[in-house]
Amino acid sequence: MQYLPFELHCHTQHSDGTFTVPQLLESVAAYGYTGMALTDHNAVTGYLEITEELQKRTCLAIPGIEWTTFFGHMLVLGGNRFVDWRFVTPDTIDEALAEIQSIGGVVGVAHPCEVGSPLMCGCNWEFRVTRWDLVNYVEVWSEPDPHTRAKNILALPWYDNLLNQGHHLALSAGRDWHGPDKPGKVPLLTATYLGIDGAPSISSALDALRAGRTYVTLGPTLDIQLHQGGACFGLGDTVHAGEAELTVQIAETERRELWSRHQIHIDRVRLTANGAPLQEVPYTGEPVTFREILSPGWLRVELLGSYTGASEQRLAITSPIYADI
Amino acid sequence: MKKLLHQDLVFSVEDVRKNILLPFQVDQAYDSLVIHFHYGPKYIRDKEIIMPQIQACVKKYFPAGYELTEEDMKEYTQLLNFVTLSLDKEGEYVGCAHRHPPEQTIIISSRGSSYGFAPQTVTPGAWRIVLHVQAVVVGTVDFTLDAYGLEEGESIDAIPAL
Repeated sequence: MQYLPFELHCHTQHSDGTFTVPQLLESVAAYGYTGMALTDHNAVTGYLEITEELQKRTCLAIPGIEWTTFFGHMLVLGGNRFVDWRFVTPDTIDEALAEIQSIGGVVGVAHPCEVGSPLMCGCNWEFRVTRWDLVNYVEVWSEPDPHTRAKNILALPWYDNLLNQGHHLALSAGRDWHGPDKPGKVPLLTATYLGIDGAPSISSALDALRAGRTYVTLGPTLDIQLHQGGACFGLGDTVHAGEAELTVQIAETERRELWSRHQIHIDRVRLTANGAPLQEVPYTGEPVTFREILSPGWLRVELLGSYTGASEQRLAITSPIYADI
Repeated sequence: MKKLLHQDLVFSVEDVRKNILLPFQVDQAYDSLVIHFHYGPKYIRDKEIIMPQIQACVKKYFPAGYELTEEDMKEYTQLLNFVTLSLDKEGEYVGCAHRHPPEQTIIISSRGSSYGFAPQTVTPGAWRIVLHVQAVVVGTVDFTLDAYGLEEGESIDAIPAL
């Protein structure tokens, strides 16, 4: 199992982006991502331009679409046929989700707490989902420099509320990338790391999202292991409530040339359980071990720290490990 | 060249979030289908209109006590009326133009189609345009659409509206 960086929310000229398809993949590869998801608004035709040769030269490309509806934006990745997005309503969303899952698709909620029309048309999530088991992930960070945007400040508590209701959902970051950066200007990028089993491929990336093996970061990378009863568990797994030991190894080398310019500094490592901080320790550069009596519910790891212009911010957040009774 | 469809429509705030169905019949094979539309006004830049809309949005979509950030506000120096268009043929999705220019020409053919639309042979049958009224900020939006069937050798330059 290896965690690899992906950019899961991208647009091209096939919707309202300015990127050509090759230009997008080249830009993704230049920022050190292993792969990307092509999620044009209500269009899948961009993928017709993606060849094996282009992917070999740049990065892995996951086919997708952003369902851009009046009632919310939804990232749909993979799937063996097209599902029509146009007439879904807040009360028929469960049927649409079931259809997407039945064809092998993966579903993510995009920027759920963005304002809606007329400022950002349809961007606010108003779907009345009752079958959250048909949703795989929630985009909690949208766009670069995520802590500057109200939608992201609101999205994490929104996501935590779903976890607190017992739903199993991974988290993601998505740049909602529409066009090239100005030369020499590298914004404070986010990445979604996917826990890839085997070689990186479309199916192994989708499997990671389905299994909840994800974390989001502004730079530092994580290796999380939970030990219980002689067994080792990872993100997305379900363990038993009770004694457990969780270790966090942090590295600051991968893609460092991109994020070190933002003076990212890790101050503390936090264990959050069921929406509230459980333990917090200063970061010294050494691996961190938490020994806990787990309550039923969920727990995750967060890195807290500073970067240029901001302090006391989350630098990385993992998807949960779940604890049953 | 044959004109297959012409529509003059007016959208108001009441039409926001409506899908407007525009079915049309193609009675012979064509080399290409050309859809041309334009609407306006597109941009609303009057701060006396924009600011109350921003405040209403915050009140509607954010929990009490939350505001847009300085970075958010940079996005809202103007608001946009917005209508998008999708197309299907015999119930099969062909594609969508989810982009902002208020005047667009979409070409559908087997050799290749405009961005967002699959290459598609223009054969006889039931075709349908769906207009998605995304935003009418204030007042009304005038919308005009024409669809043409072009035979081999005919150029879109022959279409009067272009």
